[in-house]
Amino acid sequence: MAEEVPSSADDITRLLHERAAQLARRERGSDEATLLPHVAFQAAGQQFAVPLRYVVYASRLRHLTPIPGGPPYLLGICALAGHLVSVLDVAAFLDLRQRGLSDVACCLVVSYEGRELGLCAERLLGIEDVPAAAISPWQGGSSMIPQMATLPKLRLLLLDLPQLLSDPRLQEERQ
Amino acid sequence: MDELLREVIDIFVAEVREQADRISQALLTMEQQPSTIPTEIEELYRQAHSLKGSSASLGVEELSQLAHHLESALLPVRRHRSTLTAEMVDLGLKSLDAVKLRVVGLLADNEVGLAEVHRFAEQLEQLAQRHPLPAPSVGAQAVVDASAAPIESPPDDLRSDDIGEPIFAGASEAPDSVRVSIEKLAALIQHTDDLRRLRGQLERHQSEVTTMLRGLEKLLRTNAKNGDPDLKRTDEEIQHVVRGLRAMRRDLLDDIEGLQSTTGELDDGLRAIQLLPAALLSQPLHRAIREACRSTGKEATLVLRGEDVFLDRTLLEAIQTPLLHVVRNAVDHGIEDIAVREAIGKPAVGRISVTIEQRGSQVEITVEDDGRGLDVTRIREVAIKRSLLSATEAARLDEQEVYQLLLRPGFSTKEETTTLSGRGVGLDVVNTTVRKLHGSLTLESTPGAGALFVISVPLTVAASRLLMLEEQDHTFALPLPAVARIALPRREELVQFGGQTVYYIDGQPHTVLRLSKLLGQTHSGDVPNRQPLLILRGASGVAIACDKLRGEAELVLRPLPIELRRLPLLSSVAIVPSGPALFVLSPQGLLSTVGSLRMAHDARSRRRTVLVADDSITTRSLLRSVLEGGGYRVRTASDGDEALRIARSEPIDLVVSDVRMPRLDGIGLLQRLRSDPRTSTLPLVLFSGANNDEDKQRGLSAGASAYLAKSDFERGQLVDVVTQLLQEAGS
Repeated sequence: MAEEVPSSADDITRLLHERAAQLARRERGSDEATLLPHVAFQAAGQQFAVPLRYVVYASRLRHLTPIPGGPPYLLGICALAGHLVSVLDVAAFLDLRQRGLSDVACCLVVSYEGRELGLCAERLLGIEDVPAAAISPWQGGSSMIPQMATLPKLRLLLLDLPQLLSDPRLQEERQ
Repeated sequence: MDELLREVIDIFVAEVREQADRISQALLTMEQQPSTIPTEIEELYRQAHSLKGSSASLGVEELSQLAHHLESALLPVRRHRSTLTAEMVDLGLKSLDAVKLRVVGLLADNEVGLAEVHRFAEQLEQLAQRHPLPAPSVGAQAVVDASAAPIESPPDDLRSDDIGEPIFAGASEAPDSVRVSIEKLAALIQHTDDLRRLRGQLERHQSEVTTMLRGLEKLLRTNAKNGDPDLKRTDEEIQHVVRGLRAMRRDLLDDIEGLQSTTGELDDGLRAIQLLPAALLSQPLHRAIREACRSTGKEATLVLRGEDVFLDRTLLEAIQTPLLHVVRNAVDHGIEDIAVREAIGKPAVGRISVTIEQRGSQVEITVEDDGRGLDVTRIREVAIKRSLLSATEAARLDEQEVYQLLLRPGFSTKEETTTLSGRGVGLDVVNTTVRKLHGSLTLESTPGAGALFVISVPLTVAASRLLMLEEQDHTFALPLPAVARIALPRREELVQFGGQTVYYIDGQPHTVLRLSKLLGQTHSGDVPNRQPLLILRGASGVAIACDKLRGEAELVLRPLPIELRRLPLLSSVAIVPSGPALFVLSPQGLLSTVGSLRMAHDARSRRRTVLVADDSITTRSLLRSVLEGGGYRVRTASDGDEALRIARSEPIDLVVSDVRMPRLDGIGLLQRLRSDPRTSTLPLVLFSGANNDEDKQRGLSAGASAYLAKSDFERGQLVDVVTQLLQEAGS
């Protein structure tokens, strides 16, 4: 069926508004269906997740070398498959500990703009496809965790890795 | 930034830098050796043309224009119609500096260097207009160009929009080489670390298989002794497993051997890739000397030897700046003015020789000039004027000690540079850089004949020889060149003074500090016999104690992760095959922490001055050493009279006095002190050579605070007694 040809400037404006609204609805619908793959892990009583695209390696943690004079949230350094990383206790770093860390079993090596860091985990929970609709703002007060995801069996705190890596405590300046 | 440029920016920048370097080198060579002009000018034109072409093809018009004007400015030289002037060389070199600055801007996608490139392009254009060539006909041009450079020379009137196909620098010379970024190389090195770790795991598996085999073989022997026929069938099965395990062990050994050989070759190959010829220092050195000569009106030539020595890329980059500093200084402060040189019979042109040699695992770089040498008298005067030393102290220094003054931070400020006729500018920076590379800097001089600077650094900074040590169950590494000496004292050789442990090395007291204390940790456990003590270079009077030494190793070092670079005690991470990553401690960081701890200790005992009175110089020296080792200032007197005069005129906190002395003995001194209101409460420790009860009674009755026999000194009690008395006096 041929579309009605608008006859006036007002008609054109109205038509453009309608099309924009339609596009916006379609866009939102597709967002809600989008699945965002995250790697979920557990540490110090909290369940965290980081977007899969930032994760370059995950492994059992062996040979953790403590850092003399290092801050308490950095548990040590380790070399994993060619990645030499500091291992961060995320919960301690963000002051979100519900309980102390039990034996740290795994390390998740994440990378952003060439910078690498290890995230310590008591347990890797696996790769979770997080629907966009399951994501909501998190009111925990940390800019490094702006959002959380509520899944049927998990409630994940979503780490904003670029924000985390830009924290002054993880920068190079000497004291 | 243009999309195409964005894609190839790294390659383009590397290429432009190389072209700029080659053009600079050609300019410098032509200036120094005019006979090379016919060949060097063609090389210069080839590089300039490549620069012009590749820049234009990527839309970097400013570089293309500059290269074009550079060609035009130098055309009269190429056509043999003008000599190469200093002005041409100057402008050419500055233009190329601008090119290098511009590529920094291109990398950052901003305007850095753009104005400079435009400015120098304009100046080159003006220079070209001052030496115009008659406009040739097309045919004549073709003939000239063909004779000069039949294939690669561009038409001289080429406009940037005429350029057409890009020409890539080096394409005609090295078709079998490729550029590899440092990051990619670093990633490859990381993977070789993984291979080494894998080899370690295979070795462990092989060892486990061997253990299993031995167990099974033992079981078979036991069964054979028992002669139980029922076990025969089981034994056959075990034999089968044993054969399988033996085959597996052989395979594992083959694999380990193969992996060992592969990783070894990979290591060697990667290390070779990281090596660069010392010849790369040639151009920066020539330029530094040329510029220093032009600004001082002097003349000097560079003689470079050892250009074919290959050095680690990181080392070469690190050593360049200090080396340039030393040669600039050689021109500025070593080489005399032309008139002076001629008057004293030296050649008008000074000579600066830079020699690079590999000596074992060290690289030695010697910079020698034929100038006036170091002026020891003047250096002493400056040190006294700047209150670094008293006149007496300065007079005591030997020549080497005087030279070391030049390396002191801040000794050579600009003000001193103009007044100090010896060297001085920034030598502390040179020294600091060399020390960071775990190297050393030594100076020698012959008055009137010249000075010699010798920089010695480990051959490579990527893989280092490390001393492995253990403290509190953790293993650390220290760069071996930073360790001056290792001592393994018996427990009884360690002396306790005022809460500190002191160990005497060559008669000098060394305060023992635990490594764990320097690392901010508490140490638990007793001091073992033969506890290792490390004396670091540059740490006078301090020995660092650790639990164990684990030997030496040559390991590949990795930079610290960014978030750990703020920790001053750590310098890098060493990767151990099949083991955990190890922290390499920073010798500078340790020295700095030692300094802070000593300052804190000094602050606690500051202004506590002990006056020692004894007629024996040996005893005075011994007591001075013991008390200074305990952190006190010491004044000495050779008898009671002198001690009384000092105690009345100087701030003294405590007196340690012998009983028997000429003129006024210890008891007399004590009585005079007690009768004077200014000194009546001054604590005084009396001592005598023997444990003499009569002396002791007389002393204590006269008001001595304590009485010690010499044997008490040997047990290290003096500092404890002094500390306790001063604490009581303070409270």
